[in-house]
Amino acid sequence: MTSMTGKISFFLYLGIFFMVLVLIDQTRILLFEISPITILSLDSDIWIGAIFTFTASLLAFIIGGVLGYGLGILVGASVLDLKTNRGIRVLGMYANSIYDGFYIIPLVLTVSFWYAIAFLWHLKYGMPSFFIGLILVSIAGLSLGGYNVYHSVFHAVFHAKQENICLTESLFLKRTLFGLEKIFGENFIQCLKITKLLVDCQIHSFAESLERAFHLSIVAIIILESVTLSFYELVLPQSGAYKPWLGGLGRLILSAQQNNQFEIIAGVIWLVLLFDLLVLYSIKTLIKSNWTVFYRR
Amino acid sequence: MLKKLNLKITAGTIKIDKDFEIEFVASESCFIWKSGIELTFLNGFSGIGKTTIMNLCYNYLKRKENTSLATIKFEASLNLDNSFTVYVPQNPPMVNHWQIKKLLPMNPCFKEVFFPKEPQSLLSKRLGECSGGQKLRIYTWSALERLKAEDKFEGFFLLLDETLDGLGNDKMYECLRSIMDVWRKLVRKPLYILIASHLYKNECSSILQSSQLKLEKTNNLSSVCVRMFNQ
Repeated sequence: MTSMTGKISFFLYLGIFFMVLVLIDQTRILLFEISPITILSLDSDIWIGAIFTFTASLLAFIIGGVLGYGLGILVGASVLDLKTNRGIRVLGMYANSIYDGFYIIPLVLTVSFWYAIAFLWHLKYGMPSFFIGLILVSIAGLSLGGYNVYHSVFHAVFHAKQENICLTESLFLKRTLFGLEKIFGENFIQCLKITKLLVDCQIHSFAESLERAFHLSIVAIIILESVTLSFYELVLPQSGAYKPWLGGLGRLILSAQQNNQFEIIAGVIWLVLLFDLLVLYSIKTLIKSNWTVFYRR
Repeated sequence: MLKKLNLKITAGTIKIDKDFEIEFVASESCFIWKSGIELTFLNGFSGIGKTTIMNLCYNYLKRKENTSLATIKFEASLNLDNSFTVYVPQNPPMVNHWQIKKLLPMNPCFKEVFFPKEPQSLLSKRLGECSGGQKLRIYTWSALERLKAEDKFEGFFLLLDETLDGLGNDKMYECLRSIMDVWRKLVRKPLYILIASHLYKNECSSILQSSQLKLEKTNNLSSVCVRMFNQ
């Protein structure tokens, strides 16, 4: 009851504040120029650019999430203390340190470096330009969002509680169907299964990392677009006049900034927030139906 | 005839508390197991060091790290390197989203031991749909199925830390007797059960032919006293 009253009071005061702003001439125009209705004034270039940005963000999230999870499971399994070869454990710790370093380096520098490498392969070995785009989207996905997922998985193993380790080592584990034990050794496959179970023991942390990974994927893609000129021309080579949407939302925002068109920037912000909200709702629904619904208090 | 042996465990301060410290003082054999199925109860009041001993036992049996632990003696023909150990700890993580059937084989053997009256549809449930006690029994069930599945080993250890205490005295002993009966029928290999429990009755233990490790506090030190039944 108290929290409900508090919420109503908050919105009441907020409403009064905005009404006062509307009444004042100087602020009225500014308020309308940064409100959500600015979405309706965005032109076609922005909408087309948004489609490319949002598609790339989803792709970065999927690639980063899958690769981050896979790396986390592999590195986590290698450091599990279960008769593991010492050489493999050391390799796992080195891999973890390298990925930590990868995360610390500013994304702008990482993207610039890999853009140079990929462009070199394109010139020297004739790699299609589409793959440059794919490599950069993957790097963007892995650098921020993918790292969050990886860190959550690795942390669940490396800092696992004694009880978690004892239980997961003791439970019945179904045999794999594809005879992977014969290829990688029974011990390593068992470590992989136990690592997966240890992540299950910290499922809330893992679920939060997935949500964060999605937020960070949008951030990473917009940074990528800002740093790379006409990024989507790598994917869709164009002839003729320059098309602004080929730079995605990142480049379009930079153009709007240079022309002091802050209502366009505000419109793009609201558009990104809307997209973020819709996709995050879908992710949360999936997470809830598979995992968190069984932990209701 | 009851035998009472006063034994001391190997040296090293394990746990320091503001009121007391547990020091296991050197070194005689502590757990004496023979072939077949051996059941040893480890009991003492709360805080005396039962879980500490269980953890040390598990680390020793699983990883062969001989830290500050009693020497475990068993039948000479049983090679410790060829044994497999499972442990259900006192406060295991309750992973509610796990499907029960994923923790068990296609044809589980120990269902009648733990859930004799539950229908087969139990297997399609998630752990979150079970009570706390049921979850612990499911974990123990899965651990036993794991032991049975590891057929390349010659001896098996099952460590339970107050796992079945929720069943109450009589039900717990009934459950342990069922485990031993089913194991004898299906797996003709040695099984050694070490169970830390607050529930302990002399007459029931003598029926199960178990031994007891009783932790007592003397002069701020925990020591172990072993009583062997029907030896």
